[in-house]
Amino acid sequence: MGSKKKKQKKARKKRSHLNIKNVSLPQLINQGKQFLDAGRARDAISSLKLAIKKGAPTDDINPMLFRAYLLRESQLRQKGMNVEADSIHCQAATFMPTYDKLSDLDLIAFMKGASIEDLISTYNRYIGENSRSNAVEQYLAGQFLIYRQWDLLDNLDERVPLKKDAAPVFRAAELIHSGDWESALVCLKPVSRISPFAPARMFCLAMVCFYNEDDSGMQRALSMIPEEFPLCSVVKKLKKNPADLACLWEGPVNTEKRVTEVLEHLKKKRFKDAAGQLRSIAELICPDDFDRAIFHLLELVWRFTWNNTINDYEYFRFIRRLLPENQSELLTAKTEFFDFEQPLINTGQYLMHIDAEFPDREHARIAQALILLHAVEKIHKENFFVQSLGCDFELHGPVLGITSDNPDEFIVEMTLKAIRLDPENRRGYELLASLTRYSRQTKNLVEEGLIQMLDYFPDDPFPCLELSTIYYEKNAFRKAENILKEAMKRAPHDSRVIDRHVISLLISADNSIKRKKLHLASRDIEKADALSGKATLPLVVEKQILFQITEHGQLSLFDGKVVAGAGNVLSVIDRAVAHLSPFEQISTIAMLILDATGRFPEWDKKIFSELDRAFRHYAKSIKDLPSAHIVSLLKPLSKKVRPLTRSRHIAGVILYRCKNILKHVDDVDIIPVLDILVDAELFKPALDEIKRRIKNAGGRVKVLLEFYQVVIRHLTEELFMDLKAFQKVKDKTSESDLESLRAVARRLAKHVSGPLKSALESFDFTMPAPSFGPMDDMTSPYDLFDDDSFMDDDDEYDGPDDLEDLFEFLEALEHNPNVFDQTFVKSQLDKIIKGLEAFIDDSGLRGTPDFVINKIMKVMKKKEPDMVKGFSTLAGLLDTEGINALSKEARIFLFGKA
Amino acid sequence: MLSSYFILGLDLDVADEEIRKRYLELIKRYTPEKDPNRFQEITSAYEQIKTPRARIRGKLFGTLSVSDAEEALLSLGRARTPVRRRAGLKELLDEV
Repeated sequence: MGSKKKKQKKARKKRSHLNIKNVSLPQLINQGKQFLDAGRARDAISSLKLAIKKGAPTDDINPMLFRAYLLRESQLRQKGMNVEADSIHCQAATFMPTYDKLSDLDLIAFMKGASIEDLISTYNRYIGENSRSNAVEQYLAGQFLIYRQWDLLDNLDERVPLKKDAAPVFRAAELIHSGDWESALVCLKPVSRISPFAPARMFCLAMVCFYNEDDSGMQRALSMIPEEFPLCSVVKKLKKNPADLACLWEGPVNTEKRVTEVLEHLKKKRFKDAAGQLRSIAELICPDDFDRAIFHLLELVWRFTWNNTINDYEYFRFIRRLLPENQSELLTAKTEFFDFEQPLINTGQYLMHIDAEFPDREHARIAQALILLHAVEKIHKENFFVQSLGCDFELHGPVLGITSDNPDEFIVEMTLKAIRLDPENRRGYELLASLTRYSRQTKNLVEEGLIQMLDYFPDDPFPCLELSTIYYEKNAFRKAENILKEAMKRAPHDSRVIDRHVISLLISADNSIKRKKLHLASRDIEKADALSGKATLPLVVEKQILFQITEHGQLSLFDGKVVAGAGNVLSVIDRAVAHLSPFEQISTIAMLILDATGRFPEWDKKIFSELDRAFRHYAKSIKDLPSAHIVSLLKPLSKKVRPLTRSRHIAGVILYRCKNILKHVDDVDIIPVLDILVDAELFKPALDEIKRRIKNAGGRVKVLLEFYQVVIRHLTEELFMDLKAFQKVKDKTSESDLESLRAVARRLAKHVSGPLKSALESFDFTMPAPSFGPMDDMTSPYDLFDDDSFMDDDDEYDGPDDLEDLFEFLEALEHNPNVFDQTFVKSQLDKIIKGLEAFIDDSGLRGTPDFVINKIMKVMKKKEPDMVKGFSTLAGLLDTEGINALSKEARIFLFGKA
Repeated sequence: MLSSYFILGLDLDVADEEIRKRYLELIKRYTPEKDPNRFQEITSAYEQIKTPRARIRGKLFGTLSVSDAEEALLSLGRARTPVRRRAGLKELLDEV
């Protein structure tokens, strides 16, 4: 290929040479001129030499040949071919015109290749025949400044003023060479504007401006330097971009440009170039710690796998190209951990490489703890189903801190391990306290961590408060009270501690009421009353009323208190709430009704109707309450009071008894109210209210109401995956309201599941019709109910156990409950649940909307009645702990509700 | 993470005291009144590396917290501002 090109080039050259040979003399001379103007020195020399051969007058041709040789000389010098340039310079000298015919620019061009002595003698001869040339003298001045051969000044003709101006330049030249441009500028102050040294002064001024970061001043000064000045090459670079002169900078220059190039290489898949550029950036930004810089750069490059600028395979190849083996393995493990596709395996793998990232042992411990907490937080927050998380426990168990076989305990154990590694990290304890804990063993683990926190944070009431919650969950009331006393010691004025103490006394009173130990209940309520603040006052009054209604005269024997009974419920309530504000009165009675209906269903119906009457009586003042207070009334009760009430959702109690309450809510408050209603699954009142308001609403509120309406209609199964309805609302939303709509979509996403959840979370309603995992080939979700979608006799279920056998076991159990040993029953139940969860995973039902699973169950009732009967038996055998451990989908299978 | 060190003009392995000293120096020079953007940049850089725990967290999760990787790479290039260096005439001529 190379030789072919060479041949072609040679042929071209020969042809052009023949062409030159064939042209006439005037054409040749004209061609030579044109070549010269175009900077084609060699062609110009050929043409002009041929012109001489053809008899052109040398007086006309020689000046042009002289220029052509000088041009060639400068071209060779630019290429660094100085020996060749010197030889060309000698040839140029042979064509040099006489001085009277020599222009000053030609002279400068000739002088560029000459020594300073030759310069001086040439110029002396030149001014013998011509007048002085400013350009040549400025050139000479520049040469003196560079070479500082001041003694040669005496050789200059007396007419040349260089000698006169040179005195201030001697000192300045030394300063210029040492980089002290400011002092040099001061020295050059006496130099006049017309002096040949004036460009040197301008150059100094430009450099001073550069060091003062006055780049525009520098450009102004540079623009006043003539092109013939010997420093013009430096001047040109400074004019273009000072960053191009590396000697003027300390630290990385042009890294931004290099980074842009890397991105360009990555986008165009030029990985070799990208790798080379990344290496040079790392060397520039961090010459002392190249490895760390390149690692960090590659971490950032990993983010480009998110938008598929590069794919994972290309990325891993890329990091192997740039990092040593242990570092590339570390980065691979780290990026896989961030991808979190296999939570436990990815976390374990990253932890096993952590020493390579943190060689310091103490730092490695903190890092391990942070990784574990990050993993737990993600598993917890994103509702990963722990039972289905795969893990090589033998390999990763020790680094993850997992010792138990029970999946419920995995994330608690991981958090505990993090706490042990870094006991001073408060976040670990907070996370531990927030984790779901159903089994006693899990509670014990959480308790263990919080007890450790008591020692590490001796002034913090947080572990005491959380421990009290655990003790209440374990019905260890005395322990709870004692730990709350400790909390009071640690933070006696902390309202959280006081409120929790009040709540603990009320819980204790509640239990005493249940056990009919009314004297103990009375004592606790009195203590709570003495301590209570504004936040807990309605709770205390509610318990006082409850106590008085429950008390049928037992205590009156001792202290003469009024006996309540059913007859005087109203008067008891009136007396108890008299000192409260209307808002607190309604809130107290609503809580009382919620509490009583849930926990004392055996009460006389008359008492309930009295409670209703009392509520309606006090609810009359609702119309006078500000809208914000009505919203507060409807809000769910605080999580802290959960042990005191059947449910936190009080809105139902109020809405059932006061149907017009929502009319008193202002438009600005309706969205929070709708959130409360959706949370409490009060869909009908929410839809009615939207329908009532939507007619008169406008702008932002109207759009939001319409969006809520579409979501609630999906929740009530009126609509199924009608993404067009969402898109319609989105389309008509103005740009300014779009963010509010997006926020609503994100909030409501938690109430739905599957593709609709994803659509709401991503606020993208243009996605294709939903698919259902392995059953993708179905044309409609209702095809799920086809017979083929379920396991027939000939279908093979390759889960952990054979479901059919287990259902036979359930059938046997149903007919004869006492035939099996309890331990055996428990082990079989575990197997069935695992099988059921695996079935949900394998059939792609995980994340499917609730009503789809319900419809599947309906079809199964017809087609697989035995299996459904088995589910029903299984549901009956599960205790609360077991139910809580089930996934949402499994709960719908067994109980019809999540 | 690395850009925090560059913004403060520090080496990667400096001690806590050195980081704090440098931070105080810089916020005295770039006060919120004089240069609010630079002040904010310095303060957030300091927050990310002021304690060993913060540094470990940054090293572990710095990449995840980045909202725009392209901008992060570019700002890394910008973070370490090159300082103008004294050069004499000879050096300048040698460079060209």
